[in-house]
Amino acid sequence: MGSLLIIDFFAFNVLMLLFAVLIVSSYILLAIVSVRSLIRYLKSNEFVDYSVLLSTELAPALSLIAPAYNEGLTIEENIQSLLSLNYNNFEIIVVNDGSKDNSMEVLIKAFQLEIVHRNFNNFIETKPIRGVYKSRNAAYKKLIVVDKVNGGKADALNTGINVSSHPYVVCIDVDCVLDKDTLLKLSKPFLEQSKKRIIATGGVVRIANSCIVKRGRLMQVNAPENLLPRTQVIEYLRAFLLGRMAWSRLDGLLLISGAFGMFDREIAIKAGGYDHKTVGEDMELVVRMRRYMLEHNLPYSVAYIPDPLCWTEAPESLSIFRRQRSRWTRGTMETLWIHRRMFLNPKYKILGLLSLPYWFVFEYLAPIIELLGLLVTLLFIVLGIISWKFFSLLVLFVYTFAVMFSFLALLTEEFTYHQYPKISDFRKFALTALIEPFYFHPFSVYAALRGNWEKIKGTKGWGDMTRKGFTKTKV
Amino acid sequence: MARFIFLEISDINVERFLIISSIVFLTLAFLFILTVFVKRYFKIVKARKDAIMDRYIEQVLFPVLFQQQTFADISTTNLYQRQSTDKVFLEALHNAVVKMHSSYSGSHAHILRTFFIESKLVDISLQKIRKGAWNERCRAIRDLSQMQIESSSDLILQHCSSSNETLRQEAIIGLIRMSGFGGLNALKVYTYDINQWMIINIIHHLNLQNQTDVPEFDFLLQSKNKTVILLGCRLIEYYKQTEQLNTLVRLNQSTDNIDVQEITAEVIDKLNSF
Repeated sequence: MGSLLIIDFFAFNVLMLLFAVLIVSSYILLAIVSVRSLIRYLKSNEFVDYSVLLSTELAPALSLIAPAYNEGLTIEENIQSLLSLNYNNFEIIVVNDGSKDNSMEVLIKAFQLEIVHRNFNNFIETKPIRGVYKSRNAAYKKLIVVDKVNGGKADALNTGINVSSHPYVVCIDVDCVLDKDTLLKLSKPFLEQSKKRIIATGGVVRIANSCIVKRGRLMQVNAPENLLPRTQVIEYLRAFLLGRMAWSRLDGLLLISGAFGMFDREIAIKAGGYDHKTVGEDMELVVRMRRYMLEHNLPYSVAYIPDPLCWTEAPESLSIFRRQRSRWTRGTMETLWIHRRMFLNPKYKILGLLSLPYWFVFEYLAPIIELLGLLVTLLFIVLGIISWKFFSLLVLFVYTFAVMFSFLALLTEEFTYHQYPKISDFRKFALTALIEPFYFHPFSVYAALRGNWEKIKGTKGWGDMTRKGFTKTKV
Repeated sequence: MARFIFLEISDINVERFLIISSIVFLTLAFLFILTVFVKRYFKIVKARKDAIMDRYIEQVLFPVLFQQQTFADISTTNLYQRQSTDKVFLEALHNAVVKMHSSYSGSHAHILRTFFIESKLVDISLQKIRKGAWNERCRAIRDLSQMQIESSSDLILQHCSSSNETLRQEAIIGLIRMSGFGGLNALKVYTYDINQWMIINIIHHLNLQNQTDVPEFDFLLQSKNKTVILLGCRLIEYYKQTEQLNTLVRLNQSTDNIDVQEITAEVIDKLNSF
């Protein structure tokens, strides 16, 4: 019995070590590919003049779809900001998803809306539409407001896709702050397609807590005052600058953030639109669109823009953060389950052979493995057979890697977009990176595990996502 | 097997691996942070140097632009003689002249161009276009075409067949910037794809030239490159060359390429509606 336990102890050590080495190696490899692609992108982008799109009729026509639910307090300002985006050939479709507040009243009054008749096909089944509104004022001719029965974000986005009259749709969160050139930058990959059809473009989402926003425009970037969103800034930098860029280069990008992405409307419709049964509808749609293209042998690609184009508010309280991360876990589980056929299936190329397995092991399973590791370690402590030396060295290995990787993300940010020029901000981030593994990571693991538990229990829906609102300048 | 693994991953080896890896990570972390601070320090130093350089450049260019002095006059000044051996100064002067040239027109632009050639600042660009990295070549093409250095046409033309897409596109735009519609002649033998983004850029830069003598674009329709034909169609549409209707109809009927059929049909419709 004793020798068996010793062998198990060794096996456990080896497994933990292998998992740690595997995850560290994959991060390093992805970071190398990302940084190389980023350098290449920035060098090429130096010669790009996006303003040429402003003076041409050949710019792709697109519909900006902004679902809104109980956004009455900020919706007018948000839409004014969308209307002032640099682009000519676009319409804005605001979908009021059965708000219980005064969103519709605010919209009708602010934009002088009136009910209009608009012909459109119900390509994707959605909840009933109460009315389509347009403005009497020519200044708002780009604006369309759809008032519908509540059906959730996915349903609202599908309604927008149905109502859209343009070949491309840009799906955004109405409360996001977009860079004024966002649409110009998102459209470019669609114009560059030749042999492969670009079916979607995604971009970097940055965290706007403590940043100064004026009339829906980002005026000053600051490091968040609160520790939790500040840690999320580092997390986002790691994910977007050192991860997704590599997946895009490998043509295996699975996720385009729900906060904003541009899609080929025809393919989105053919793939069935957003799935309203999952809470991870953003990831699920990208996977389904890619799956559709692969199953129909259509050459395609998904593009990615590393520029900081979209700024959003991150949770500042642990409870909201926990709910957000639990929901992300449920979304991941649902997407992986819906598309389980693709898993390790060579028919789905890099998507089936690499992206989905990677997502499964390193995104979904990782927290579960960490929990198991913790439980077994506790057991070994209780039994008195733990090797404190090995345990300490493994913890040191993981900690030093985590800090190094965060510093690499900060370094990459410094050499590329340099959004945090204040040295005090940089110091704050560096200190945050040092303490992150002690509180943020364990809590993220806990939230992911709660997500698993909620899924088992059958919890559905998004949960409350109260936002504090951006810091505004005095006008 | 299990025994083998345990022997291989012995305590000592594992410990050594973990310790060495941790030291490497720690060192890298330190280096990354240090690099950020060093970069910021050098940025401050560079900003100070740039401010001094801007003052020198102003002292050099102001008399040229507004006091009718030539390069010969400037080259004898103490300031120029002192600074002309400094590569950083010459690079900054080069960039300043190109930048100012894009903001001026008429006689001031001509003065700057003459200064650019006489001061041999042009050699900086020529050296880059010959030997630089691809992005430096792109910048050189942009500068040389902006400054209308006609002797560089052949060098720019060579880059139209580069394997680097950005460089290729910059070369075509450079030729258009230099020779207007004449720059399109490079496309007669162009074998790479011209995407929609490139078409928009070509039309934009042709438009900036403000040339009145618009040529017939049917020569682009003769190309064996499908994407050059698409560009030709777009140009015919943009410049409303209704006289090309028959050529387009013939092309539409004779081609078996679906893209060409679609675009010719679209352009024919639009031309008919004018």
